[in-house]
Amino acid sequence: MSTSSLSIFKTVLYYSVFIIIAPISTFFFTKIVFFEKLLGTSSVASNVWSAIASIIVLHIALGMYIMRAYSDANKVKSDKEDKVD
Amino acid sequence: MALSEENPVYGPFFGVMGAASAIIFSALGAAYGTAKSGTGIAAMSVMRPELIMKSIIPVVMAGIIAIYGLVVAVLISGNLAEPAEYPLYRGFIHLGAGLAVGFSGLAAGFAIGIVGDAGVRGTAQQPRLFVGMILILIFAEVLGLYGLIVAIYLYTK
Repeated sequence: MSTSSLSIFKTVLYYSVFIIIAPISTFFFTKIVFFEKLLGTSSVASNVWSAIASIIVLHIALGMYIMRAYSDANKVKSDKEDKVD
Repeated sequence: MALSEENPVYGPFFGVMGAASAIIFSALGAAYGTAKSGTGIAAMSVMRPELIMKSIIPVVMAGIIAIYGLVVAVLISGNLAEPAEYPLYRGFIHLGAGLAVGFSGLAAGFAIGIVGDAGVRGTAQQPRLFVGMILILIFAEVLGLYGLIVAIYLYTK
């Protein structure tokens, strides 16, 4: 039980950090490096496209978490004998 | 200072209030969604601790509402300037963008909280409810996304 709860904690922590860090880093990375340095777009356009890119990355991360939770929970559905009454 | 009728000294006030209301109301909705679905998760996990991973999803979706508000607040804050370079019209636009994403996030956070609370309690007893809960949560989440789209569209005016 302790190893499985540790692994669940690790998975949830990994995905939470990914969901929080990925959109913010995508926003600033695409804004500063990709749009302003490489393409030289204006400030408003680079802001908007970076925001859209970060929202897309956010939803990809959320979809990955939902898929993982769905497949994992189906796998460990039937081990209820460690319930403490 | 070239202040005129189009560039009054109180022009940036509207933009600042837009940035503040974007994050304040989104965070309010996200906090309600997290707290309400958190009570459901805590009540459900006593009997079915193996469903933790599935039941965290409403909390993650409530957190995403706050990220919408954060994105718009950062966008608006990046465009704020001295009153001489900041016309009143742009202040109104930014106030509208902030209120659009803020109140949409508040509504979406309320919906996620109530659906998440009832959904995780029901999933503990009938696991096939999970797909339905995810669908309802996605439709609640999309309300906040509509507000974000309107806010970004206003911001580009």
